[in-house]
Amino acid sequence: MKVEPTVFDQIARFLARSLPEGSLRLETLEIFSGPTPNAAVPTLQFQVATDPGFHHSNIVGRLAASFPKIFPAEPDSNVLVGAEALAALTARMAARLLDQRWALGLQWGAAPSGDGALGWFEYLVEPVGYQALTAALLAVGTALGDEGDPAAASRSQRTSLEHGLDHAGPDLSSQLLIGAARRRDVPAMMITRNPTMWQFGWGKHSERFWFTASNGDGMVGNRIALDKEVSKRVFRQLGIPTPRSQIIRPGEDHRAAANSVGWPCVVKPATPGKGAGVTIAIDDAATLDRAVGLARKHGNILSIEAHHPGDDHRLLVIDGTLVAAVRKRIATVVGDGKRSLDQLLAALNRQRSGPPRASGFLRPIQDDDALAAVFSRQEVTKATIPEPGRKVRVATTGSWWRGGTGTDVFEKVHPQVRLLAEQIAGVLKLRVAAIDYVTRDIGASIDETEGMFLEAHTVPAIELFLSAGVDEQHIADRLLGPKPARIPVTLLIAPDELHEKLTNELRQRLPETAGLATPEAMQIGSFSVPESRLPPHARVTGALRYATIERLIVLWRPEDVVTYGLPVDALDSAIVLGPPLPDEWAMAVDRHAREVRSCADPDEAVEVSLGTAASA
Amino acid sequence: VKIGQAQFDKLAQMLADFCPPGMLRLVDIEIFLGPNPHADFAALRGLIETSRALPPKRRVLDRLHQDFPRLFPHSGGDKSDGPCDAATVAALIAKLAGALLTEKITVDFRFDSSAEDGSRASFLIEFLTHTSSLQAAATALILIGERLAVPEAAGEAIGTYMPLLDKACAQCRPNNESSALIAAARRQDLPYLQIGQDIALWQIGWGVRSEQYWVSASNVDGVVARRLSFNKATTKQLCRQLGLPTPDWRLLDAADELPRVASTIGWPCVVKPADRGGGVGVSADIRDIATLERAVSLARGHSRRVLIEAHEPGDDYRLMVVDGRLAMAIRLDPPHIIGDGERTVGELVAALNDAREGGETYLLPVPVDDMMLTTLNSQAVDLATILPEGKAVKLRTNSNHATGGTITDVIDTVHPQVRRLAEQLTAAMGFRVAGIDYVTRDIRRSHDEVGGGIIEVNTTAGFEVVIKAQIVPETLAEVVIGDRPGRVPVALLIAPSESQAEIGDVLRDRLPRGWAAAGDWARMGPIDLPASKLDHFGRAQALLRYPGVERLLLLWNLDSLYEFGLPADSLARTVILGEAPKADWLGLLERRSARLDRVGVAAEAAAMLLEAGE
Repeated sequence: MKVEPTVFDQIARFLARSLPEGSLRLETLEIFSGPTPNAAVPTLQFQVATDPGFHHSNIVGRLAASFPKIFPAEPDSNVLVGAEALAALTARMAARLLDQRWALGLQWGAAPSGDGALGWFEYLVEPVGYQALTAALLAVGTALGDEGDPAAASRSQRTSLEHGLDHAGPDLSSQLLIGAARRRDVPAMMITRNPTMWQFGWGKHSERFWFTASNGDGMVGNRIALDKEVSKRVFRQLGIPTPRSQIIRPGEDHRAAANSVGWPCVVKPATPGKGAGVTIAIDDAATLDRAVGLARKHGNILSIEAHHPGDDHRLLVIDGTLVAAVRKRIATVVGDGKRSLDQLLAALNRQRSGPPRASGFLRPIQDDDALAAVFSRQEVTKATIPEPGRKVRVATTGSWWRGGTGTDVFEKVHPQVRLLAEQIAGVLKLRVAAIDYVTRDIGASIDETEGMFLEAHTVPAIELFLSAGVDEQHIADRLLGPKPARIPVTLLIAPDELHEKLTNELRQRLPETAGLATPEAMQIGSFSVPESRLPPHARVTGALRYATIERLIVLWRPEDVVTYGLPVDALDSAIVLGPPLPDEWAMAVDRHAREVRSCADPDEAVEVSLGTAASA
Repeated sequence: VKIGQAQFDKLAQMLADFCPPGMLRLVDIEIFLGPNPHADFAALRGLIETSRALPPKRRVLDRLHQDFPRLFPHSGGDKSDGPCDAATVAALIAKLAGALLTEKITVDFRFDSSAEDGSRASFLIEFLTHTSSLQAAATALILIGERLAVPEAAGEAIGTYMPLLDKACAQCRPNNESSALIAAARRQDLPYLQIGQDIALWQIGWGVRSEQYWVSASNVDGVVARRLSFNKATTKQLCRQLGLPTPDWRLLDAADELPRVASTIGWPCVVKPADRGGGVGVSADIRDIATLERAVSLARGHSRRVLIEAHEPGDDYRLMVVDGRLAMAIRLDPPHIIGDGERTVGELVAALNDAREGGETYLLPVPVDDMMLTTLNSQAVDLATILPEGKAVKLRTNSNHATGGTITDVIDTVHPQVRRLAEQLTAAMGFRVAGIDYVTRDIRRSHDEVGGGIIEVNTTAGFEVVIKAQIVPETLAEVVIGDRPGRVPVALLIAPSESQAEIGDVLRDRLPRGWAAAGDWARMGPIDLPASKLDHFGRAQALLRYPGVERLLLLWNLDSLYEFGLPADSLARTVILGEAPKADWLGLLERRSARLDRVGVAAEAAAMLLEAGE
């Protein structure tokens, strides 16, 4: 399908403006929501052309010099290039630009087509796909000429792409889930337009995620986890050790509250706020007053709890089993006798800038009141030059959000601690739960160390585990869980004039657990879906979003296949009624269907569709 | 459990302030956390003594009828003549305490009383939480004492003690939906436990057969479902993807030019915050730019995210789906009045609100406010207009129950396509229980015929009001509880202290996976739980909260039995080692245990507890 003319015009005009005349031109741009003769996945497919004689002999070398990670130097990189190679370089660059963030192994390719060449790449999320393509075209177009630096020419487009990836692309946990799904051949689709919400699997075998949370996480448990006071009362009811705590409302005496929970104590905003406004180990009234002032900047209602000595740990339980455990550490800088704290911090933050993978999954330290407070407790300022080897804390807690780091301690966790973490997740019915536990020794029983359980989180800071070196694929596979899978999809291709008859027959005989998508209608069991505005491919994905169906029949015309690509990337069976598809599309169907049949008789096609569906 | 001596003395003194101890004296108060010889349920039991001639029953009852017409609907009359005695006084205390708790906590509290030796009698009220039960007992005791002492005068104690009781009850009163669920659990003989002392969080059933509820939501309702329903724009986007009808909408940017947006959406339109519930900040039936601007600023007062939505003509319906099936369908109509040719609009509204404030109806009064005046204005009337006979005037553009709307059950007339639409949407979002707001001109006809649109999906399905109003059957709450909750077997071994260590070792050693056991310790399968401050009873309750527990074994002694009552209201097995309990306790154990054995050897007792599958 051709993309919206506004999208095409915007990219084409931008290129014409930015590149020398006669250089790279965008001729066509199509979007396919399913496999095509060229690609096994949904792709953006474009056609590029250049004026004859307008080429540079060392285009690959120029690109490799500008983008060494995208174009590693290859021995034959000085060959003269044609249109096909230009398309390939563009597609490769677009895919790699996306993949530098996502690490999903996106597919790309190119082939000659008429006078020019076609390139395609997997886009995953439409708007960032266009941004990646624009940046790639600019870079390749610039490399094609004699003037200009491809990196400089495409810089502002690559910056826009980074912004696009931040806001319109999947977040890190969604990337992990998508990666796990691809390894297991489980389909993924975005829910609404929010890139943090994804559906994995289809129909009855689908699961919906928001970050790492899914519908396997119970709403009641989530409600309890969100309220730290209720959580603590629940822990106490369960006989699980948790610190004494109290709420401080505006106007209430916080010193009296501290006396009641006991010193030393911890003050934090009652509503969880990514570790902001937390002060630990408060052992005098003056520090307490400052801690309350700091916390109040993040919320009026505060929580005060007894501080228990030991290290903060975060235990990740998935599907009832402990999967990872890290000891949290407060971020520090180490003095060298030369640089000031300000400079040391800047150096630390340089390592931690950029997207998660580039920064080792660690957050930069924010220069704010909390930093000033933590410096003041250590009697230093930003101008202080700490002596060599002196460690200075740059955050109040080991919260990942505040720059905290982690050490993997999974092998050491005492069985009793493991059991209780798993039981807490079980009581809260959280499929994925991160449980905070304080102890002097994670390898000893709770009774021995007087360990304390603090709280449970529905959405763990998964970066904390990755920064501690916990295997990314291991966590991702567990997060996705066993539920998401495909349901069988049958594609019936028939000419337009037969559609009314076929639709009526199929609708009437559709089993309650089956869905039907045609270019004009959608039926889920006996439910005739009312909406009439969806295009054909959106009716297929729409039907696959219904949680009740165990199989789907798609009735399309040959032209629908050619326009949108195959309706899905894997077909249980395909039935072709009437004239065959164009050769290249017939081959694509062959590649993506487990079984292909030709039929001459509409009645037979209906029987086969329903029969195949029934036996699947 | 005995209450503290200081607390008891204070209570006795408060009573003495209103009634001479020679007339009525509090002898003892004890609380049983489980079934006990006096009641099959957790109860607070008070023992009183009356030792002087008391006023006639009739006069006391007349006084109570005057003070609490709803709790004591009948006056003394002629039949109940004769002086009060201890048993009568205890009965009145029990009834007053039980009725006050029932009214204030909205759960039916059981109560009882009995004559004891001589001039003593005891009253018994069901125990839910410590503060409320004790406060209710104190209040009833003092109020009855005061009325015995001075039956003819209006008492002062009401003014002092009712606010205290209100406060104690407010802290533990389940919210409306929870109390409907608790009532259903009681009808079905299912156990329930409060979670984290939160009024909206309840567990029904035990161990592997437990389910937690937050309002009407359970853990079968997913976190993502809630996220999808929380933002109305997200819900509407999902509806579009599913091919389900929802009125056109736009999320308003700060920069949006209202006239242009309004012209693409069309008039009339609706403005609402995208992520607030309960009709907060919603303006409907907007027909001009000035009203639109006011509506947008009203909505922005509640949320950054404001959406403008095309008006969907028709009536408002709430469709509640449970476990994939439509379980409730009601039509909500805006509050309205009908003219009689004599009274003004203002007088008709006052009459309507008087009737609604009487307490006999589930309908709420309609506030006379700007919104009402604007609504009246748009119908070309004001408060002073005398309405012609039969002329209907709307008082609100929206039909929210909270602002006085009326409700009609329509479940039997919902068109199958609309029913399936609701059921499919609920499943696609990941809800077990959801309340879908749907607008249509005719619920009996399909969307294909008459159109209609989904407005939003609510996680709190809102069934409690219609149950209370008997518009839909109270069995609806049982449907919400579903089949899952139930009891797990609890076996109790009562053993003398000298055998506890030996039996404990055996139980801990041989405890199968999935089983839990507790004495002075607690263990799940092969692993000990950490030491805690819980007592015997608290430890038993704690283990019934763990979802992995398939069976619970308890090692108690006679003292804990006498102190707490039974650890659970029904026991799969009881084994008594050594000394027999007092006769009334033995009788209770026999009634409440599916099987009861007495043995003399510790090893045998432990083995009996570990036998599976009784």
